Amino acid sequence: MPESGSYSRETILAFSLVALVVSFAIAGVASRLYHGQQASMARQWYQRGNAELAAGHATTAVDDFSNALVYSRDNDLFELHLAQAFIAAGRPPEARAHLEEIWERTPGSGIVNLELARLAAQRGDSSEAVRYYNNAIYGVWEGEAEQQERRRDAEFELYKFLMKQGQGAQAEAELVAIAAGLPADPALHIQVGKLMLGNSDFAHALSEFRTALEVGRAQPEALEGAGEASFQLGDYPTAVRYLEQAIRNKTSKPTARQLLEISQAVLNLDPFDSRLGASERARRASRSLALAIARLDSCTGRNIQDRTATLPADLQNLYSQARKMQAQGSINSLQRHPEEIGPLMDLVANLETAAVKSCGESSEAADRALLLIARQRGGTLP
Amino acid sequence: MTNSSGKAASTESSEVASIPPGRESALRSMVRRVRVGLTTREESLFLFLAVLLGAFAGLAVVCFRVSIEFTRVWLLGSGLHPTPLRALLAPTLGGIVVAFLVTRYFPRIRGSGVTQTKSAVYIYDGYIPFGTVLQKFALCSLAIGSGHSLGPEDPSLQIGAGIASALGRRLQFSREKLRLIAPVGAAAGLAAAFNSPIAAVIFVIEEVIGTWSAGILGAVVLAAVSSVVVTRLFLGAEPMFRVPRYTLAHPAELLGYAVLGLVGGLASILFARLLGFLRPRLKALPRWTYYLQPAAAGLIIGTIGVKFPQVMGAGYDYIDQAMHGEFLWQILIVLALLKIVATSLSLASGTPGGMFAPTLFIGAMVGGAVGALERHLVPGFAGPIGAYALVGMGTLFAGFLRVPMTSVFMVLEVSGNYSIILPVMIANTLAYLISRRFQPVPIFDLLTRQDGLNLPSMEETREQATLMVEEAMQPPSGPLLQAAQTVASATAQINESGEEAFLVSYETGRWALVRKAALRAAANEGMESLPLREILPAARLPRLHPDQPVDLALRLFRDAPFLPVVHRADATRLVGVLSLNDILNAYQPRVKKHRST
Repeated sequence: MPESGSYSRETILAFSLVALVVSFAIAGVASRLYHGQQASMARQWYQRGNAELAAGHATTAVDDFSNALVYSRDNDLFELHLAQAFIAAGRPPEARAHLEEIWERTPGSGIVNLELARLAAQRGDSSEAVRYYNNAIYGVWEGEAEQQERRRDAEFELYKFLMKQGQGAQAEAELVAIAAGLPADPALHIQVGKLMLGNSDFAHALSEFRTALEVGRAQPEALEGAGEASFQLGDYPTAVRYLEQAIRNKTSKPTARQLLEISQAVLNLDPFDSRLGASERARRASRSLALAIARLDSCTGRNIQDRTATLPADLQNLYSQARKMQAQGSINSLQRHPEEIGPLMDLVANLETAAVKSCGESSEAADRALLLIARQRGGTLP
Repeated sequence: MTNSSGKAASTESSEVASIPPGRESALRSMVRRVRVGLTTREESLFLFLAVLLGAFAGLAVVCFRVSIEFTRVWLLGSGLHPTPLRALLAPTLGGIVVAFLVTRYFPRIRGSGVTQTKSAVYIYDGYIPFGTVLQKFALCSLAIGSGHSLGPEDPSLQIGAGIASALGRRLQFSREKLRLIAPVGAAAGLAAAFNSPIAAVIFVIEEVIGTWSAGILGAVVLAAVSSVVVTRLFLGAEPMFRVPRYTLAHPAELLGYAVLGLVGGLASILFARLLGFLRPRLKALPRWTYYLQPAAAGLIIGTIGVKFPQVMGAGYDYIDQAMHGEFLWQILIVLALLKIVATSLSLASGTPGGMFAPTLFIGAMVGGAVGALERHLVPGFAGPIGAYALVGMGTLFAGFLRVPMTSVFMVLEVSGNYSIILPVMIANTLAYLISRRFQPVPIFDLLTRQDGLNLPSMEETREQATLMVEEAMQPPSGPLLQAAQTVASATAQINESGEEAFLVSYETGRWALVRKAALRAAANEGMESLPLREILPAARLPRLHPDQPVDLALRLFRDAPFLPVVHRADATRLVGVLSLNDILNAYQPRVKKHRST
């Protein structure tokens, strides 16, 4: 039902355009007020959420961050905090949904990838965890100064995760990669060195401890580590040097002294040291045999000369060999026949091994040193 | 329209005559051309107006949303969980104010904007008083903002339609155009409210207009796009929901979505049945109760809201939470059921507001519940809960609102993820079919019929199968003549036949009809040796194809007793004949069937 208007179409259209401009202005004011209000409320709820989360009230923080997100829907920071609050509240599936959504928008975010990696690790989804950890390591982190630190933390987490998963080779490779990127910070080198020690990667560990000592002052931890790594590598003179320094620097590690004693014993007992003369070589071999016999005697509670003692056949046999060797292997004889030192030291190793089997590890540095000397020669050891 | 155009055309010629072209400035020339163009070509004006309307509707919806938000924060507080006092008081007091104003002063704005817009289009020639727009704006802001379980989409649709209607009247559009312009505004309003132009266009076509007419489609699209552009300018281009990443865990998971379609269909029926049951009963109560019904509904909703604030208002923020798997499946089921109750109460009590948002809410909760339950029962089978919630929204749209096409496009547009199309299509189709089976009358038709109006049902219109030629035609009988054969041979061929008219086939695919009497007359006049084509009239006999509608055949019948039905690939091949009697006979069984149903 058309109305009979008193204005022409052109006039109506002109009025409409003016009305449109006015409407734009009104809507502009309204939307400005609206956005202002939304931003203000988002900020308030976000602050409350942070406070609640810091106070350990994760459930309340979830509500607060949810409220904040209502007013600033695509705010990655709010959503990340919401996800973290969910994690803190023990609701990982919800956290994951939010994190994946942020990831869709910012797939390169370091923190988002790290949180996703943690959730994947928690679920036991190894491949996804490794993928997200690597994303986090190569991702973008807030703050120029903290970027490297955050990446390194993520690398350490990945290393620990891999170790936990029993993927030792991958973990070691990861640790070597971490070491390659470390700054001149002795503490970090010590940390990595210790992890490498734990993985029996002694060569890399020694390198890290040495770097720590180069870039910082002589820290007991670095000295101990370097000493232990050297010890494990069979470089006893170096081990002694580092361990002595560590003890001088008041190390807190009780094993340092023990390692030092063993190292010193090795250096004192080893007849195969190329720098030794024939008499000293013979003297050491003879002393080693005496020590090994004494160790077995004390272990079995018998005397080597007591032929009536009832012992297992293998021990009887060892005793018989030891008596024979003791009779033949005087220092002079060994000096004349240095080729006898090898078999004698094999017997020493067998006696020590038998003692370990029967009575466990000896607390005496000399006995442990004899086993290490045997190990260096490639003998069979427990 | 013709008079106005003619008048404008004469004005143009007089202006052109009075101003020498050389002295006419470029600006004046442009203004003149625009004026002439707009005045003389109503089609162009209509399209221009569609853009203008879209902008107006977009601006109105921006203000409407802002108004709802301010009201919500003012009445319920800024948190998702209002305090118990606010939860109880806000919808109750809001209901009292709304009830008073609606019952006393603005009875026209009760209920859904969709049915009111349809009424305007089909009953009042597109007339929607502008006052209705303002009233709808104000009272829906109050109702939704105070926590009534209603959404802003249907009011936005009506606001858009109302603006369009008012402007169309001012511009003295023809009655036909006035009927068309309201749906154009409706599309703009809905597009702005949903921030999804495609779904809005399809909804208006599917539910309001009912046909894909080229005349209106362009205007509807322009208006929808224009309104969305304006809305995004002010409120941002964010989609309605932050949809989590969608992945199909396994092809077998589609079965899981089929289950969702089934459950969504049942939920749709429950919702429609409850609303259909409550509404006439509350309406039948004494008139004085109209002043109390929205308040009572508000009090019940508020009581529910103390424990489950999710059911209050439109609920979009909670849909977002459901999509992120923040509710247990048990809670999701409870929320879906409570929302059905709350929305039915709000709508049945006459509180103005829309059904779209609650429908989406219920769908999201149902979807989330089904997804979470499947994950619980068969670990590793179901994908993300967010995807189920999203598909669930589509199923309720298809099942409850009964707009299957819109439901699919709405989900795609809202999610921005095409890969979810398969689950959406499966679930929505199932929900739609189940709802249709057990709830024969669609909800919008049910509401208008309860109001005593008999508007055309778009679903019924879609269901009305067109009678095709192949259903009515008869197999060819009697002799078939060739245009090349002589009159003598043709006469000999038809001599034994009892028919009075015969089809003549040309090698070119043309057809003609010759009557027995005419053929005999030609033979008697000594034209026996002439080929038939020489004695036949030059005019072609219309021909039909089996897949054409009978409606088209009826238009082609003139004085021919029947028409040839020929093969599409070979026009010389006769597959049947169609007479007017055949058409009538074909319609008879349909009429009987219709009467019986």
